[in-house]
Amino acid sequence: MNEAGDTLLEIKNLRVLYEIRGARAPAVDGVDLTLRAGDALGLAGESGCGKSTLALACLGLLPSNATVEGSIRFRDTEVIGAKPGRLRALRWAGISMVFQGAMNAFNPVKRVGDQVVEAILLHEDVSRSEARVRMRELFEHVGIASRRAGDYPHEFSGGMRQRVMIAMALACNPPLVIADEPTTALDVMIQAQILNLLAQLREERNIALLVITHDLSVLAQVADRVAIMYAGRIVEEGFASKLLTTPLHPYSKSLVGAFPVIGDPASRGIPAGLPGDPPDPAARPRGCAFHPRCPAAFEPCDRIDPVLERYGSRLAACHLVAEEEA
Amino acid sequence: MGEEARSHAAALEVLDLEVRFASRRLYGSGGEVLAVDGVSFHVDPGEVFCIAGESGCGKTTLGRALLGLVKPHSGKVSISGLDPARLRREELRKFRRRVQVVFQDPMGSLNPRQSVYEAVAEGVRIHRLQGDEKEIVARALARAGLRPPERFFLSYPHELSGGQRQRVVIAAAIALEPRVLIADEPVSMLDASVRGEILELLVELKDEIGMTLVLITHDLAFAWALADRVAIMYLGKIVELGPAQTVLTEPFHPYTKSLLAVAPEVGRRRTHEVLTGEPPDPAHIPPGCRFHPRCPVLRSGEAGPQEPRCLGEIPALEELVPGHRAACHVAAAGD
Repeated sequence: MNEAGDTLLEIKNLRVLYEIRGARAPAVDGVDLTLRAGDALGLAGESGCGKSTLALACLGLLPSNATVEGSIRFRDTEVIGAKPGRLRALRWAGISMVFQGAMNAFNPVKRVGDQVVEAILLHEDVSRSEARVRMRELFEHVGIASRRAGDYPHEFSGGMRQRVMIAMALACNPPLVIADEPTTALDVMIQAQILNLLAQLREERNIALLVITHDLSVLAQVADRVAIMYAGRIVEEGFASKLLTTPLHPYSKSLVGAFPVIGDPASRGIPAGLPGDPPDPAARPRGCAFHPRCPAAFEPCDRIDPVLERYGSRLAACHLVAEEEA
Repeated sequence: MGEEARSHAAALEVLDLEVRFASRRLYGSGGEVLAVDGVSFHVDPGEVFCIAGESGCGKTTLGRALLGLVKPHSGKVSISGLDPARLRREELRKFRRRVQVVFQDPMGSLNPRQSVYEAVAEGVRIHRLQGDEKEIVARALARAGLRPPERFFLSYPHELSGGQRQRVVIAAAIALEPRVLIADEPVSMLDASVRGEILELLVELKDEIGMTLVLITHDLAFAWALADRVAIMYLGKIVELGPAQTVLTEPFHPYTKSLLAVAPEVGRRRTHEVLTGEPPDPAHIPPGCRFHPRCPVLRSGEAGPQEPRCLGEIPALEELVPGHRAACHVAAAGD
């Protein structure tokens, strides 16, 4: 599927287990993902599905009670088991991250411009004045007047702060930016602006994006490919334009169904909800992990764990899909 | 302007409501912020009425004024004949029983050191509801989908999922059997899979107890799914008001069109223009039509002969087709 030459990030059979009360519970349970330069992949799922854990694993930022198995290769670097120095070099310059709630990512008592300058100085061998020039360029690039570099974080609105955060993520020209719920706390119009900005930066700088969210409407705007995660595994993957309009997996269907389409008479009335909660990672149901909540579960679902299989451009892990597509 | 007074039929009525705040800025002179500016509407019993707009449009302040949590500068609110701004303390308590609210963040609405039982029972005690407290609490929890209710009595908020917490908040509200439930972004902090459930619950409750639902949101897709009528607010004023069916599919106001262009939808990549700039600031309300500095119609020159009016004259909320009003000079002049 990929030419080895331009593969940026390759995740193979990734498992992340958390040690909880003596037991080891898998938060990520065998995930394969590949990102090439300039790709935009969306990773979606409910809270607790393992999507944020996966992002932290890519940056080597997992807490100490986590055990990681499998492989995460970023270009020539194996992230799992990498030495702290190697990881420091990788973060920012290789992979950087935009978080939700940008307020917490900044030092409240330092001017935002200085914080970006420091990030540049920490990672690159440039003079302070060169770093300042680059910081101002970055600010203009993300749509902030560079004169605002002297302001403190609290002086920015939520949307502007998120822009500063994006400027900071771009500070060392990383080829990959991971954005975890980049617009969740923002207002609609601002959300649209930030998504446009991400799409524009991707085009101009050929940055690969890994966007993690529970909000599928975000992915419709920025992602080319979408992977749906449930209970630590990818249950469906495909082109955004196809997966978001004709999902195959019953879980993807319920996620997509939660977004009413304005103007569509079928969307008038209550959007389809999904009863129940995702499974406890320490007590994964037998068979398909989704079967206790699945409206379409049938005979093999509570016995046999479905594997991710290819159907044209799509991957899905579901017995029903296998039967329908056969 | 706005809607003429309606008699007893409405569950909720707002007449020319104005809410001002003194703006206290660290630097510069204190001015006044006009958060809600001459808003009038009514909501029929059992109706789902949605108030939509960006941050700073005044929708939350309007919701708070309906609850009597902020004092309006002028105008009036009437919920089953009572205006919270004109009530004494004892009457206000009775009023509050009829009008309950569910906020965005369930964690912020719940006391982390209070059990689920206590959270629901507190209101029951304050309002001195007749009957067995335990039964009332159990019934409310069960109605809110926390079944069996006894299982949740001794749980604390941190032990619950986001959806369950919001159900506790809803249970505490409906235990009082309100006539009107105001839900301010009730699902925007919840996972997509839980949203449907919470909305389904709200609608079920509406049908079961005949509750009137005022939904405050920035999400027009949910307004489409649930609302009978929609009011679009911009900088303290209603700029468009009418049936959800027509406001959201055949909008008159350029602002409504802009909001629709950014409405979160899956399976559709945005092609429309996104309004630039920060959300409007209620401390600096532009003259004329307050949307004019951002208006794509004005910018493209399509406003034609109406342009001077857009810049200098506040447009009235006029009925352009039966039941559907908009405040736009260009729309009112027709094409």
